[in-house]
Amino acid sequence: MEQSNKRNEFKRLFGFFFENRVSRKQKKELKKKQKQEKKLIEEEKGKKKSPKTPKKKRNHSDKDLMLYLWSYIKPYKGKFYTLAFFMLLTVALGILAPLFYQEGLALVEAQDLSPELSKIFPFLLAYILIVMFKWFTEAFQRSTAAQLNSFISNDMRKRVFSDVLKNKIKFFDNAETGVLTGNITNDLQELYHTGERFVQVFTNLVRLVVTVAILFSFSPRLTGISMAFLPLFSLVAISLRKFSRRVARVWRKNFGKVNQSFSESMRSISVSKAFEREEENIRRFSDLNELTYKSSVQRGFAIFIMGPISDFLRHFLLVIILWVGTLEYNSQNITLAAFSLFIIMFDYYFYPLMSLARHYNRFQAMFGILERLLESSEKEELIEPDNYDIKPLSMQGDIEFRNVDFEYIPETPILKYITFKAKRGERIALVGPTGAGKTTIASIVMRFYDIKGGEILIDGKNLYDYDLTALRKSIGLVSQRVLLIKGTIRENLQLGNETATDSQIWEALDRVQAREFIELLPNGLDSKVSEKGKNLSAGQRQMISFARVLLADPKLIILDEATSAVDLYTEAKIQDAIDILLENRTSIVIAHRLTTILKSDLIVVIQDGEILEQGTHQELLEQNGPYHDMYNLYFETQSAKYLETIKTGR
Amino acid sequence: MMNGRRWVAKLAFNYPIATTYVIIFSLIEVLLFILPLSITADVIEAVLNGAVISDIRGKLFFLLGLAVFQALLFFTISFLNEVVAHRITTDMTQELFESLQYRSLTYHDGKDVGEIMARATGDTRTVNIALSPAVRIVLEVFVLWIVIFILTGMVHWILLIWSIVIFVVFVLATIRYSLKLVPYTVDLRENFGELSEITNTCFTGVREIKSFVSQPWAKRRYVKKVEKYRNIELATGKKGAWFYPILVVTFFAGTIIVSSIYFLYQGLFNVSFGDVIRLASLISLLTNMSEELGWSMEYLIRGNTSADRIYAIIDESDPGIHSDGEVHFNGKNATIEFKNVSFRYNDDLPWALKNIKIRVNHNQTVAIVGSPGSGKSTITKLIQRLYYPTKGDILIDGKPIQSYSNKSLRSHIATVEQDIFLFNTTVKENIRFGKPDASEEEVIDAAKLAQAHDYILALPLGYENLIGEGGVRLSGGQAQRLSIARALLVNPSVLIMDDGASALDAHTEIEIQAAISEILKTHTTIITTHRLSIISKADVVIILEKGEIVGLGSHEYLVRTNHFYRRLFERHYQLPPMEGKSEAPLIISPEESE
Ligand SMILES: Nc1ncnc2c1ncn2[C@@H]1O[C@H](COP(=O)(O)OP(=O)(O)OP(=O)(O)O)[C@@H](O)[C@H]1O
Ligand SMILES: Nc1ncnc2c1ncn2[C@@H]1O[C@H](COP(=O)(O)OP(=O)(O)OP(=O)(O)O)[C@@H](O)[C@H]1O
Ligand SMILES: [Mg+2]
Ligand SMILES: [Mg+2]
Repeated sequence: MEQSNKRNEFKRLFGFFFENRVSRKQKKELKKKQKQEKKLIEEEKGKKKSPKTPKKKRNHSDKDLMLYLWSYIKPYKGKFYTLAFFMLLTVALGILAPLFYQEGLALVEAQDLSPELSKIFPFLLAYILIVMFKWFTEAFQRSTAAQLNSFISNDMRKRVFSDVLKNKIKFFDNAETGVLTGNITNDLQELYHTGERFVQVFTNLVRLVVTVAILFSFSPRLTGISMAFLPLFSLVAISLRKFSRRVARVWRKNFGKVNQSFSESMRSISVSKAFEREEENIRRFSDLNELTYKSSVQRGFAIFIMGPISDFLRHFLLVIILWVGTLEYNSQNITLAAFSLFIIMFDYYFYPLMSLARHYNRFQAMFGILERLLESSEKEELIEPDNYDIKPLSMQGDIEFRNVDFEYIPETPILKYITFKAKRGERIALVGPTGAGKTTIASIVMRFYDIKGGEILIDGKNLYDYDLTALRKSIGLVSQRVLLIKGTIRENLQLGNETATDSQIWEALDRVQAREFIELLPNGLDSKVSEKGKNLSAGQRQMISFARVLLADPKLIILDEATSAVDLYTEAKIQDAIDILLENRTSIVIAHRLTTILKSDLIVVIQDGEILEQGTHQELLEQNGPYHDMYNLYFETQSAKYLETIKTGR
Repeated sequence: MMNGRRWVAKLAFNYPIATTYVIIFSLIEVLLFILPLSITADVIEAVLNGAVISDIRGKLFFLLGLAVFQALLFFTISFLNEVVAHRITTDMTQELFESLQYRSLTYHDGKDVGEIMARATGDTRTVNIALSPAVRIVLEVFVLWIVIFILTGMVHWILLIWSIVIFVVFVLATIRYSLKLVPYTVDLRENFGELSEITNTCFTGVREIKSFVSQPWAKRRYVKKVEKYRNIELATGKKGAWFYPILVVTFFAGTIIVSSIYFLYQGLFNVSFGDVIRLASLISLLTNMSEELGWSMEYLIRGNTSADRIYAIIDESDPGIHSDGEVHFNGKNATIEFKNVSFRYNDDLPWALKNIKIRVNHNQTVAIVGSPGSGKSTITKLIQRLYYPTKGDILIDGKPIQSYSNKSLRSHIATVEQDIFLFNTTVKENIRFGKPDASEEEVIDAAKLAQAHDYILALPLGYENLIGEGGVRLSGGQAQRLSIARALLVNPSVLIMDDGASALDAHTEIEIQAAISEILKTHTTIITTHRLSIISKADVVIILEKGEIVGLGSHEYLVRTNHFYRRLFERHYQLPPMEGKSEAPLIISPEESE
């Protein structure tokens, strides 16, 4: 492989120039994906004026963004002023030193060859001292800048994190966690590095102004002429701007894709193995990776191209200075020492400009990131309130759905005229074929999504009039998609109730029949749960997620297939144990196993988002409708030869 | 011994021409950059001696020509450097990805995705910066020093010695400084990994976090990491700010400039005005470059740390490694036999399976039942060879499972997993997962078998619909049917359904069963389930409890004899009377089970 690599060096390095590595098939796929993404976005926009529309232009002025940045700097004002002080000092010293140097040269030039050292010595000594001293002020400056920088970028980190958490579930439905994580961590890392450069460039700019002023005092004409190249310079920078912005955007997108693909494939490693997908995975990853390679090179190009250009301009400028300087000297307008000063100091104004141009797109990117940050906290439609300290509601637990309509995507109704009612302490069962909308009902009770029409009342009051966090604190949802968080078993259980004591925890675990297996683990409650709980069996995970909700002691409890991965015997034991607990709480139970719901006070049969019928088990059987059929079917298939009669519980 | 640095070097020399070009020509390029300084000094000297514009015009044009040439050379170098650097990091990412693909599940169980991702993304970028331009800058600084030696040597040998002394001090100081910085960068990268890990954890768990209103908890966890990271960043930043070797260079620059002026002033050693200018501009270039060196060294160190971190994963030993077998499994006789198999996921954990003895004949359907954590899924994973038995042997078609090649084995086994993992692509791509080149018809047929076709068509974009990360836009049962379709498409000889109907309603389940009943007759099928409808149709039922087999036989037999089996149903059904004590035959053959 290495051998062929060598032979293909040219192809591997520059292949992207000539060939399009994405196959047509994939391109089509990508296009489709983009189309759909766009559609989703547009749909969202149609519903509410979406802030997520990709905007080509920035909709915040630089001033807004600087003010935003300032809001982060403010808490560290002291550091900021220190930085400014050291910066000015450094600049001043940096300019002072060559002046002494120039004085020295001027003495020589004046042919003042008097043997006493005393005349030139002070200048030379001052020069050395200033240069050395400057190093210290510069180090102080750098150190302060680094501190300020990490304080600010980490404040931003915290801020962005909590801003992202504030987004509605809808946002996460359309997001990819890999990309999201990558963006947050890498954006801010980028911001940190840009911050470093920013201080440096800013220092240079101050120095530029001072330098130009000083040089001007020596020779206005020479200074003026050598400034003439400035327009040229800005022309180059500006013409590159568009390109660099575009490639940066493309790069960012591709980089995100590679990340997502990488992390998705790490998460799905067992499926990949089971389906012998490794080679295909590698092939696809390689395609994406190469695509990113191409855009990285393009992005790199936009940055490094400034190097040769500015080197050339620098030399060009040098020629001009030499040319004009010679003329000026010959016509006795400047001294040779001043002339040399130009040579020494022209870097002082050349380099700042160069670094400005070189980092220009970095600053562009910084503004871009800043804007994303600023916007992420402005998108009010997508944001949930964050008064997390609020107490749970002291609610009765009456719940009523009145003609509730709901859709995830506009024009695709999922729930239609859902109407049912339950009083405190009652048990409602939602049954129906898969995809009927049962989980959706649970989600809208949690207010993960907003309904489109109708009303949901809790204790007679509209669901949306409650405080969101208080509401969620009073409702417990055992979700169909069990998700344990990386950490210990205890941490997972305490998610619902941080102050739960060990005895409370064990009690909840007893109820869900999970004590035994946890006791067998080497570290008991403190055993590690790996990502998504993949080191536990599916049933064990379900039991823990059930216990977690019990610990939160909710007033209204929703069990969405809470025991689907548990065997009938264990399930029966769990049911017995929680029966007492559910006695005076309203509960909504969703299950395909009809044995689970026989005891309910109200059975709601849903199909395709509509309620077909509702009533108690007995009533529904007598109605001879869909429930009757469903029940019979279940009974027939689930009872084999010898298990003829099913016990109905109540 | 291979380490990150060597690995990167090895990768770089996969592109020998470009790498050599960059190294050699960047040395030359510095010289071309320095040459104008010298010409400038000459010009000034000439002017001092009364030259007029026409005398120096030639020099100036030469200078201009040189500038063009230098710019072109610089362009090619930085372009190639950039290309090679990105190529290397792309290769690194690829190698990392590939090496992880082939690691055992035992290995992956102990790994965290967030952590690996931090390496795959953050660390590769650091390496990239180290490669371009940090390495080049370091190289250039060295060339600059050599030029300084020559120039000072031309003035006086004492100055040469002085610059050599300074150079040595400078190099030593730089090394010392760099070594001190290393632990900081290691710490920094490690904590960065943790940071991205926690971010990732919180975002994947966002639905749970929201439903428990545990945002404060999540934030606390996050803030703790951020603050730790910040403290390390602060320490590193402070350390980086005091790149003291520069002080040495600054002092040196001061002395050289001062002494050259002094020499000129005193008329010593034939030092001319031009020499002073030459030295001064060169030295100020040196100080500027040395400042860049501080930054470059920091990135080199970071790059080195990052390369080590990435390489550490590539180089890491795989605790579950087994070499691939040679035998080709043709699926003609998919008999599976467990011979006293015991298994645990890791040495500290209790046994997940103890002394399992079973035999599943070709085309038999076996149902495994048992309470949560009893080891059902573990058995299915062992059959797929995702893990190897800790003790005992698994024989497939009479040969140990280890002797088969991965490819042939897995291409004949398909699974409906208990933890369904769906990809954030289209429905079609998800179904095609096990057979990427499957035709449209095959996909649709599989979807029809799995009773998924209808709902797929009802999605806004049908088979082209994106299903969201992990299939969030699908209901539980819809997701499960996708994974059934995915498994059926492969048309394996061994079909494993690990609780593959748990999210389905009775009606859908019956339809699927009806659709695949023909297929099942020609497949060896292993089903773990809690559904009586499935269990009762199996040829053999295995009852597991705490990793041990506590019952084995047909449904009719077990329901009358086995206490564990009866207790599954006795709550809900009227059971036939118990007949005698349960005594399970431990090895079964078709005769016994019928
Ligand atoms: N986040 C989402 N975005 C778009 N559509 C969705 C989303 N979640 C669910 N759906 C769709 O809404 C419908 C109802 O899904 P829901 O999860 O409520 O079904 P369910 O009754 O719980 O089914 P199951 O028994 O299979 O869990 C399905 O057709 C599904 O595809
Ligand atoms: N990757 C893993 N690492 C460590 N332990 C594991 C891992 N997977 C499972 N276990 C443990 O091994 C035991 C058997 O798990 P297994 O998944 O086989 O159970 P199961 O019978 O399939 O249960 P369920 O009915 O809940 O699916 C359990 O105690 C579980 O905690
Ligand atoms: Mg559901
Ligand atoms: Mg399992």
